[in-house]
Amino acid sequence: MFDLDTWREVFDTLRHHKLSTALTGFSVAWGILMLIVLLGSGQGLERGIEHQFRDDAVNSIWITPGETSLPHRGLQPGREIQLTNSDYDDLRTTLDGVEHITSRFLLQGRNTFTYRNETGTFPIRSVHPDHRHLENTQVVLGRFVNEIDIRERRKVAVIGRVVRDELFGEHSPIGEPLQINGIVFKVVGVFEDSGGDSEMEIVYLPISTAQRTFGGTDRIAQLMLTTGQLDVDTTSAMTDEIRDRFAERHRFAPGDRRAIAVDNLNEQFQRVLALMEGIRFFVWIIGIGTLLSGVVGVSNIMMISVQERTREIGVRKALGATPWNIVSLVVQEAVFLTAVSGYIGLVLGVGVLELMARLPEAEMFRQPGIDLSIALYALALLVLAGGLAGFFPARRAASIRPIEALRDE
Amino acid sequence: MIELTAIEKSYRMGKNRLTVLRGIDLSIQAGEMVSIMGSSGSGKSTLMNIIGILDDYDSGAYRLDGALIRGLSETRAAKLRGRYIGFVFQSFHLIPFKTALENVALPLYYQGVARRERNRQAAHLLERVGLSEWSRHLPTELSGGQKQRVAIARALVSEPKIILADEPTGALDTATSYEVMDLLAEIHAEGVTVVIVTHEPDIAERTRRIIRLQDGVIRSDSEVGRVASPIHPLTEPDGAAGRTAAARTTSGPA
Repeated sequence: MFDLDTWREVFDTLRHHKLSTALTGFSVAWGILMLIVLLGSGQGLERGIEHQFRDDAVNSIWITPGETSLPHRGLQPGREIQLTNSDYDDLRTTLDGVEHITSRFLLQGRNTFTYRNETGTFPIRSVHPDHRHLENTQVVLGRFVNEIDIRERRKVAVIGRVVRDELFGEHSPIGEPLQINGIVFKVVGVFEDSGGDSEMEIVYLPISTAQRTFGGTDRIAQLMLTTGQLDVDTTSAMTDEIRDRFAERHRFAPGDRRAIAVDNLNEQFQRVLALMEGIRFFVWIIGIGTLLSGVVGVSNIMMISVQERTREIGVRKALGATPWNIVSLVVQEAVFLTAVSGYIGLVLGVGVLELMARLPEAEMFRQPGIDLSIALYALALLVLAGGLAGFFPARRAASIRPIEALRDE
Repeated sequence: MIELTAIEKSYRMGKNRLTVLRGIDLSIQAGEMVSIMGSSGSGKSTLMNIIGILDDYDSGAYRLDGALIRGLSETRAAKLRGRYIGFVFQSFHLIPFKTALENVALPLYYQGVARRERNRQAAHLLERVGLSEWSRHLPTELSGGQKQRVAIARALVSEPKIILADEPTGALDTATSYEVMDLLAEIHAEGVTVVIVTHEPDIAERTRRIIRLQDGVIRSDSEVGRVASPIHPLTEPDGAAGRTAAARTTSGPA
């Protein structure tokens, strides 16, 4: 079936039916092009959303105090809620489902860091050891803050890569003295963070040390905890439990949302996952629709082209062509045409995605790309459809007796 | 070569059945040159289609070179057509996007002949019908007579036993018609059986035997230049009888 002669005949007929060749080719190429651009854009959107969540643990709950907005038990609204170490101890020891927990104490204002002759200004976060699980902190040198640091209030610091580069240059900072606002700390570790450079110009200190050294007593600014593998419903229940406990401890109305913010990233992440799922579904629906319209287009054109060629087919049969000769000629034409133009569409589509990837990166749209196997499946489907679209009308045309095809009007 | 016995054929036309052939008995020997005549609706085209294995029949028997042709698959019919029969049509039926040479070579393609050999044989036949210089031309660039000669070359290329020509001169002027008939006569002289369907008496006169069809039966079957043997009393070919009588008078004692 696939001998050179047949291919000559296929090329010959395709070349001489320019209009239907062009139309079929275009509809197939266009269908594949649109499909690839669509799927690639969907992927870009997904990657953009994933990027938003790259920095923080997605199974975490963040507790940030605010101001009361409702009167409660004789207390006026507008009262600031202040969290303390006892809130941390309470959650850590009595709340079920906590995997890692940390609090944060932030130092206000500019903090001056000095190492030998180098000076710089960087933000400080004073935290518990578990903090590294919440921010996806990767220690690349030395160690992170540990329990002994907390217990003994050691003056140690873990610095970001940017801080290391600016103050220490090529020197190893481990064990080196670092002055923070005039007080000497010992550098024990260097970290990197997938959140980018702004996350890597931070210096972590043990919270207990910071509270004593920088006058924080027992105040904390934020509490964060992770919930391990627990499902959304359980973490939602934990969120409610936390809100109720804090309402009790800090005496504000349980319904007062402004008094304390308990953000469940898990819930948010699930919502985004559902959104992503929705987008993916939508993209597939449109993609399949595009593909289907391509298939219909190809079928239509093949049908018309076969109909136009009824007489030619009749002549071929009178000259000794078997029905199989006729069907295989038309099917090979269709398959060849859809394969070549589909491939062109594929290349163009990948080219368009490549161009889109070079656009300045937006927050919600990053690295559009396509799974090549999906593109190839789509192409195979179109080629198959093209073959079938050729096969059925060709079989009908081939079964018409030549006299009917050749009858003079 | 061609043996038809009691062939009947009818078509369904809506609710009615239109009987086209009502029992045809006909025998054509190898090497004959026969014309089938009749007005439109006489069934001559249907008869030709049956002989050409382009159409099936309802009852009777058709033997081609001794083999019964009945209810063949399309594939088998195509094979037999390719081997035994070359077709010539009134409107030529050349494939418009193929050159004269490619048109002539096409039947050989379906017989699996290699391209080089196909083109060699096709070129040879085009030379024979006097169109060597036109081999690279498309049918639209040829005159009617040239197109029909290309079609005849195409019918001959597979070396068929029979040439079936359906109104081969129907679309041509008289002079060109005679040229085409001369060509067909030459082919006949080489031993090919030629069957021509026509409604033009002067064309029929150029064959050796005339079969007249009317309303689906054979009315007469006569050799040209001899007394027609009327099968039915209604048709009396006076001219032919007269000529034969004249011939008889001249063949007196020398």
